[in-house]
Amino acid sequence: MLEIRGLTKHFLGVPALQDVSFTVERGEIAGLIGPNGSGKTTLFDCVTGFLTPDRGKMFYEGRDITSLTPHAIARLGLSRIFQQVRTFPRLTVMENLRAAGQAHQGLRITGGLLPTKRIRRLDQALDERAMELLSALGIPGVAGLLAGILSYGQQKLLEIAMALMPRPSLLLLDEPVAGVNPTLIETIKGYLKQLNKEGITFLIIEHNLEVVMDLCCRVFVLHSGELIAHGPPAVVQEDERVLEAYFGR
Amino acid sequence: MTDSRSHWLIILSAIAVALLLPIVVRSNYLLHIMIMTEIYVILALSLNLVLGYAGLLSLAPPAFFGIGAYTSALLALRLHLPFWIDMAAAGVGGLVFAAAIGIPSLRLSRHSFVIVTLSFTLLAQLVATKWTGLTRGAMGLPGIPPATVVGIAVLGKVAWYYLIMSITLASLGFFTLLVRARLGRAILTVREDEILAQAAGINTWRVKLHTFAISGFLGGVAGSCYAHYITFIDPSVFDFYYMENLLIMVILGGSGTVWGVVAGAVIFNMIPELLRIHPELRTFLYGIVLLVAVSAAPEGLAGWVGARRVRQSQGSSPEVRGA
Repeated sequence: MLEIRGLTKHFLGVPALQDVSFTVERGEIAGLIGPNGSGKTTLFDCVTGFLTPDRGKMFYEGRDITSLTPHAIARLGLSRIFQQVRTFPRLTVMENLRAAGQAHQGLRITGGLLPTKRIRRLDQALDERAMELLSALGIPGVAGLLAGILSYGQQKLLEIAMALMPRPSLLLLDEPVAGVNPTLIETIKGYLKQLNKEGITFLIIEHNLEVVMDLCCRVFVLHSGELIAHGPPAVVQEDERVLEAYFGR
Repeated sequence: MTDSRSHWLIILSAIAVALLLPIVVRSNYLLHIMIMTEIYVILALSLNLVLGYAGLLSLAPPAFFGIGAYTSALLALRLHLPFWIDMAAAGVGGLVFAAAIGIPSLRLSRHSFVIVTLSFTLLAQLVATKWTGLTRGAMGLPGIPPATVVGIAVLGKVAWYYLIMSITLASLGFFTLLVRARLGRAILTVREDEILAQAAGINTWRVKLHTFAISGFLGGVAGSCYAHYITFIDPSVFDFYYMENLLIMVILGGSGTVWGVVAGAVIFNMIPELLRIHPELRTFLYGIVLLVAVSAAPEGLAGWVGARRVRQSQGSSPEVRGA
């Protein structure tokens, strides 16, 4: 589904990613772990087009996405959730969701200036999808509120809903449960599992190892920009190089 | 629902009052101020779209205004084209120049964009002053013919008031349609979080380019109205003085709102004129007013009214925190 080949990225000569290669298979929940500064987010930035790698190629469903812009990659069905909470704070939750979904409906940029029948149908489809997601996440009551006044947890849920608006096939999550209370962690975990059953593939960066163990069938471990181990979480956890990376010798 | 109905009621009554004003107002001086206010509303919309909706500070509105004024004047004087064609050409002229400087400068950082737009305004004024073969330089272009509507020349302040009112209302209608449409939403996402917008599949660069081009179009149209109404233009149409007024109107009115900015344009045009404040003292006072207002009501008039409304409705609002 997502193939990364020899990905290398330097910042001012300092290597952030060195010759990283791996493949995320369709239908799996893959984890990406590693100590702080090991290059996880840099890798996400490369895959989603926000950074251009120095070397290496990336393929999404067999298609070379290495030189595509972020919005073009997003439109292929590859959604991403950022590490810091990002919403459109001064827009309502509903508008946030519409904005997250509208570009995927394939209209021209100036399309929809006049509310024709076709536009109204597309608008309605957006609204229905938005309400469906808010209900599924248990926050249908916030639709009319400004995103900026939501609590941190609600904003995290809104982000997930926004990423799901265009019905992506691959979802990259950067620390989806960081700073979230334990009850909500369970909710999010359950929801991700259900989405996975419905056919969405995941690549998740997460520091909470319990969550990783629970969710992921395979994990990739980055350390100083190098892929040092991969495999089922239970195996990787015992790997000497991984222990060394996390705890030192 | 009732809230939006009362909203429209206020707007419709304001338009009705504006349409009926000339019946009461007999003074040519007052009518002149009202006509200038109409032109300023169009210009304020042009800045508001870029600054209030896309969150980009453009100092180019005077440039598009001047380009529109000169395009219109030259077409009328040299080619004897009718007003409507001049105005359309002025709008397109503003749009083309906006696109031409937008294509390189919108790729830069927001700060660099401000500098490029400022330089463009200064450069445009310089060209208008120095290219005497085309513009007659500082001597300006006198004798721009008045507009004709269905063969009848528009003469007198009242006729001009209604002619420009129709253009202003059309601009407002277009603007409202635009900001409520998908493109309007996309423009707001650029202001709110450009990176998130890109991750949502929005081509933010193209959205910004469209925004800036439309802003150029509105500026050009305003310049054309001005040229035909005043019948004389010189390089002072590019003056930065307009920019200061515009910033006051848009920021104090409430950038990012339609009717707040219209109110800002009306208030900050009428008050200084009616109080007959000396132009130089005016610029000085504007600075103070802007500083005070930005610290006291950073969201402008519309934001202040909105905040009051929220405070009044509190208690009935649902509990939002604590998930």
